[in-house]
Amino acid sequence: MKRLLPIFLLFALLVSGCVAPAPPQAGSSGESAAPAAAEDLLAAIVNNGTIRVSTDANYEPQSFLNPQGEFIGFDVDVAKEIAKRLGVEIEFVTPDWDLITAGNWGGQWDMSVGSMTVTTARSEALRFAEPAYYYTPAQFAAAADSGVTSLADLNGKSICVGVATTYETWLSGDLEALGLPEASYYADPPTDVTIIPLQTDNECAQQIQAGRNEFQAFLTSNTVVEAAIREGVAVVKVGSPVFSENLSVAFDRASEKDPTSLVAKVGEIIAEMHADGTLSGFSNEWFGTDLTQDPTK
Amino acid sequence: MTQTTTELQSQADQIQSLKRRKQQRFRLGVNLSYAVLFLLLIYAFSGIKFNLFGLQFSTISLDTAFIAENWYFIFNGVWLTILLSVLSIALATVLSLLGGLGRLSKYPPAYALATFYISLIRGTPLLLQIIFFFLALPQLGIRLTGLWAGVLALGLNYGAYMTEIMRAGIQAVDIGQREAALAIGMNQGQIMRRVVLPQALRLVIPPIGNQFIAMLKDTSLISVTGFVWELLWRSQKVGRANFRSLEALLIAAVFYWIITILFSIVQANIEERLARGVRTT
Repeated sequence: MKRLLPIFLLFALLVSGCVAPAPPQAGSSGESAAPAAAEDLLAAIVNNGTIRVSTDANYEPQSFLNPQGEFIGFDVDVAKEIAKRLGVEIEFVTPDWDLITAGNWGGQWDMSVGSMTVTTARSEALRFAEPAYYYTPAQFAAAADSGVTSLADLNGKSICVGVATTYETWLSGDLEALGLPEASYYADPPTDVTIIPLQTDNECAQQIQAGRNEFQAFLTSNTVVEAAIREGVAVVKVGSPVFSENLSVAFDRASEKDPTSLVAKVGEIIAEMHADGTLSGFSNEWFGTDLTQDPTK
Repeated sequence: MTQTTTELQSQADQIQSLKRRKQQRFRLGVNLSYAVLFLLLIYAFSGIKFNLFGLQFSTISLDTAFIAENWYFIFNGVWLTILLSVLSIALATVLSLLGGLGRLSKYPPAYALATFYISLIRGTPLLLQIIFFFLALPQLGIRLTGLWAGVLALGLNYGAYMTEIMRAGIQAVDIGQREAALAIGMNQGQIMRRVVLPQALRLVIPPIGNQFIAMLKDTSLISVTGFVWELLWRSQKVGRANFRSLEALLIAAVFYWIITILFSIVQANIEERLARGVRTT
């Protein structure tokens, strides 16, 4: 069997060969993360003629698929408009939410237009375009037959959230990691709660619908609660919103290509879209209300 | 004399036809039972609720409008699921052949590499391996798309399991065949290529077909990367966005079942072909 030796040697070479072309490691902290000589991401995108945007197509009306398999929703329209104003084509990719928030995208997509809340913790891995493109209130909802009717009823209960969401962070009481402006908080987190994190916020509503009773309430964006009620899930809103989130376009801080000019450019575009009413138009179309005004101002 | 022959003949015929009738009755019974089981399954998902002698019977009710609207989008994932399975089984077959030869090798590094590979891959979960290839390889400068990361993980995983199938297949070829080949002056490579492997192939095809059918369903794990729009990914997306995960997953389940039935038939045909000219009794 000695004739096999070359094959195995080749295999071993291939495996070790993978180590050789390792890219220069970009630091993961500080504004000067990207190496000075790094290629500019915006220039590369314009050069390519395409921007790759990640979207989490689990949420109606933000981002979802119609029966023809096309992406539609508020986030999708915002992303398309940004691409249009950059003068490039758009391509959507669909990684899982926790992959998007974790950063280190490995150059697989260029930006996230996914209703992502700007938080201190996420800012370590991601960069956000200023200003935010819209604002949503975080809302508790409970199973209609749970007897939970006020925020005070939530103390000591089991509460469901989407994993790696701001709702999970807020419920766990880590307000420092959230880093929202003081005026964004409307209430204090309930005490003695058991947090049940599921893969997406929508799973919380669906488990209640399916008749499971591991938890009595869930915390998510008001838009998701309203979508669930519209789809006939037997849940009711509990109290008024507990905090407000600034949702922004995100970029990978560890990107090999320097995103600085892209972050600035997209920020300018969003400011324009606020000013000329484009964002308000999209919001009225998808949410039936204008969510683009900063509630803390 | 001729009388006895015809008598024997007719007795034999009688036994034969009795056997045939028994077989036919059996087939009929099986088909009828299938029909009953199938109807029961349909009933379980019919949404019918009724009260009988004070007992409340309920079944699972589904949103048929949602199913009618979205089944085609989910169905389009079938092709990718089949493509993933075919690519992965091809990679797994090559790897398992190398692994099987390595397992039988008298050369220490080859034997060690093969057993190490099997141990490492069989000792870790497939789901974890898929995520690993997707997340870890970019650090080495290798950016595999979700599809290729999935194929690599599935291929490596099934390759490790199938290595044992290959080894068993090679070992099952009679030692006399090797000796005869050696006697007419073939070297080890020739013996493997011309004598042992062709005979081993017939023995390993049924278990490989079995692995293929198992793999068809494990391709669903690739959906976790989020980039591969196969059956499960599609059903999860439309299910979550519309709060109809149960309906969406059931649509995917039906398609997985149908593909599996079709490939089982293909497998049976291949086995029948390969069994031709081989005495089994």
